[in-house]
Amino acid sequence: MDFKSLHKAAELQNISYDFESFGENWRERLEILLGFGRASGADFIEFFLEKKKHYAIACENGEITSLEPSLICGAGVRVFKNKIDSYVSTNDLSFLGLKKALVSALDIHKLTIPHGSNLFFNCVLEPLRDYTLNCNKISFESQALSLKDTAHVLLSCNSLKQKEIKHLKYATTTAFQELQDVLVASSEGTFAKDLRLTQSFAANVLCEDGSMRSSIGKRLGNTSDPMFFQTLDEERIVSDLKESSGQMLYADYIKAGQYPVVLANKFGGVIFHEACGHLLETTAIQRKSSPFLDKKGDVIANESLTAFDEGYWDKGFGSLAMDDEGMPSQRTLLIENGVLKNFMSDRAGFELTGHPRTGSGRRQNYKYASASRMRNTYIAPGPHSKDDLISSIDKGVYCKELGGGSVDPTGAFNFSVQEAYEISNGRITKPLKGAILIGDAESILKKISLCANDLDIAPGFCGSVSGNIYVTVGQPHIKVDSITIGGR
Amino acid sequence: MFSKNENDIKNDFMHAARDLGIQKFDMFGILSLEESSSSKDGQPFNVNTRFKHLGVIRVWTSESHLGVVRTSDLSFEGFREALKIASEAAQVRQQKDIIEFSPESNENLKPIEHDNLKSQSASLQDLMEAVVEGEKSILTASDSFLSVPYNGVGQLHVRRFYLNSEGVYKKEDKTSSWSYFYPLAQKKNKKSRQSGEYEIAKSFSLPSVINCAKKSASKTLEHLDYKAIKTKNYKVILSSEAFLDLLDAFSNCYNAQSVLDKKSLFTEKHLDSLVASPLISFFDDPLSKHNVHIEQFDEEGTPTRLTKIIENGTLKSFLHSSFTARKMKKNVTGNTILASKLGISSHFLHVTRGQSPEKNYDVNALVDTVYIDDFHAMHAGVNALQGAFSLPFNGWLLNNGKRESIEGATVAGDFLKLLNDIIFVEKEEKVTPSGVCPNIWIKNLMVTGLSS
Repeated sequence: MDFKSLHKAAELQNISYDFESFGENWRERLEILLGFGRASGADFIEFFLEKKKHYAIACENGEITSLEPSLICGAGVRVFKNKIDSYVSTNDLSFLGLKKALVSALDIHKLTIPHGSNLFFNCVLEPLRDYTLNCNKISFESQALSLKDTAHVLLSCNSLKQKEIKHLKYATTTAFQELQDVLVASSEGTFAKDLRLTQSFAANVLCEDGSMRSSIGKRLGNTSDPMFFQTLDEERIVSDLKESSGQMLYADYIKAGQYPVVLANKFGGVIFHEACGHLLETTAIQRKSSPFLDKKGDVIANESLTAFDEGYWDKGFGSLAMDDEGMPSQRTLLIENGVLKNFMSDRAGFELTGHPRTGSGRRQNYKYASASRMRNTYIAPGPHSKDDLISSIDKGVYCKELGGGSVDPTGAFNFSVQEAYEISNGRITKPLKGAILIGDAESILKKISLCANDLDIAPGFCGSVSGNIYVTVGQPHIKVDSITIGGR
Repeated sequence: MFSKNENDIKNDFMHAARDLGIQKFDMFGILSLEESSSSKDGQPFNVNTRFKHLGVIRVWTSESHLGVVRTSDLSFEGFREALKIASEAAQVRQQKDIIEFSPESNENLKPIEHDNLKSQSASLQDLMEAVVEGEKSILTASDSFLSVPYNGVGQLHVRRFYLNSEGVYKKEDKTSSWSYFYPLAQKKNKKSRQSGEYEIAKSFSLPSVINCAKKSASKTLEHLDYKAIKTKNYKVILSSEAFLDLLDAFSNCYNAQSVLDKKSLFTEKHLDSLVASPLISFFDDPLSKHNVHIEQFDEEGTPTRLTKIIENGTLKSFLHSSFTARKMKKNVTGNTILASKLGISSHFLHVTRGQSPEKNYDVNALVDTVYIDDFHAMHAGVNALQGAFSLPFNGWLLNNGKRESIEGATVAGDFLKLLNDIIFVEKEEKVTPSGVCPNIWIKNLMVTGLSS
């Protein structure tokens, strides 16, 4: 019989904790809580603890109009029993607060922590895997740009826009910086922590000339790079905005129809993200809401297509050293020469579908149970040049910049096009606006016939069952033989 | 129910502020408990309980500079840290405009007769059983159903409060329950289709959950026989849900902050002028008896009230925060979202007939008309700054009283033109989770078929 846990638990209730950092100092209380959970009869218990410092700044027309720091801390406890899971989240990180959350999660399974002199499971956690030691992460906070200096960067960029861009009606520059401290502990022994610095910068303009309007935005972002704001190339950003907004201001509305299309690199990768990526997450497989659920090993795409979901692309917006279940990040080959090779899987995905875990368990914050999600997802480069692709089309559309999109469980997807041009006789000609690309996942993958050699990535935000997360989409320029474009 | 007592929160906050010598401050806070469950293959799935605290705090420096911070730590130590950071933010920002408490933050709340009914709470076990029952009712309704990939039943208990350094303190408690089912079905040799139903209510009720499930099932089955549609201009009827979604997507039109920022399609000069068909009126009605989420005060403590936005096609008012109301010399409307830059949001839109129509239309006499049930991908297909939209939808082709489900199409247009092209507003108004609205008929919109 082990009374140590009982006595310790009683002591722990009365100790006030140092909430400054997660680490070894949390071992004892988490081992006891996990022991309580196992003693109740749960198959698996996991604690996810989070502290987040976030600030967001907006500069509009030369003035800082919004500056909002937020301080969030919370924990989530997940309990599995016979493949059914429960999840309880709380803002109370005291021992009693976490125990209350655990009791609530166990209660959902009609499990209770035994009292009195019953034998307790001794849950022993592995040595702490501390990913903050990589890349000198503990110096992130001191090295990253301060609130005040970030505000100056935004003011400077906004001022440049106002100086350079014609017919400018409205200019917004925004930024955020987020420092997330996470700790994962599970009844299988996982004990891992990480510190994540994510930063993003966005510049938007609205131009107007009489009744003509154009609105263009550019976004940059990365992780684990304290020098991000200091190394921004403001002149290049403003130059891109100037060119795009100028072109699109007088663009004609696109005529709806079927067209061959060349999609640009970087954010053009959202086509793969929406048309295919979500449908290769076990989140969709376990709900039977993917047309690819039983297609592993089958040809699902054109043979020119190879695609990856990369856990650790250097400074990629979706990069993680470990996922939100404490599993080390990895590179996952999704499709190779058109053949479906792997799905993206987390713990629940493995339990429910049998597909091995790929370090893809992600969540927006402690309020959500982890789910299999994308990280840095891209189509691999091919042998062609961008010009090869453009010159192969008599009449079509060049989609230079895409907006957001979505996919539903039938595989039907859509995404908006922010900046498009007509292709005529193998050359890029006049600008076009108002396009939305629509199609279905199974057929579009087979129509990607050419891939260029210029792979590049772009930051994005992805919303799904475990909230909004930071991701990267990427691809080289690609040619889609035929796609439906909605327009006027 | 909530892990923190709001009197303790109030006392800790005031104490922390005074401890730091901060004289002027306010806070909007939320304590909530949300319980929910989904179902998969007849078993509870993703069973969730969320205990949440959040405070949005504003502090003013002696130079009247404003700093804002959000925090989930509502303890004395948490407030001290948050207040310090807010003070730092105030020094960095040094905003030019003066921002004050709402002039009506100290107004008392009036009791609402139809909001005094006690809500019935369910246990989490009740929710789990209900959603499993709901999924089962769908899967047994027809062999065509493959699964119900998205479903859920839940309930939310919320305590909202506002307090400031002038001694104002107000709070309200709300409970609501919701259910949604989005089944996937397929007919042989055809593509799979998905439709769904989402409902909210003040109280949980098992029959309501089952009813929601059955509605989603019949809606999905109705779409199994579909046909492709030609790409061209069609007369279009927007369902209540579809039109309310568009109004929400283009809310910059009636958001006073967007007007000040020159991001709206309207300007102050448009007030009291005709901006839409005279057949339409709509107003924000936060205290409507149909509104499950009645909020008696906004996040600045301003009492909410009915605001006419468009009346018989004429723009009557924007929705205001205290800041925009002061700038435009108008009255506050109780629509503020508390943040570093005050946000504005409608509560519960009510769309209704404006002027009486010159003629009544018979839906059974319509030819080659598209009826839109609901839109998808609102986040991607709307350009609010330009007034343009291009959206996929679930819908029907109507011909002489018959209707055929449309396969994967999109509709595109200009929002301001759409408002002026309204040719008919039906009399019967439908209550939805986000508002009240009848079907709205539009002269024509461009529809693109998937295989055109």
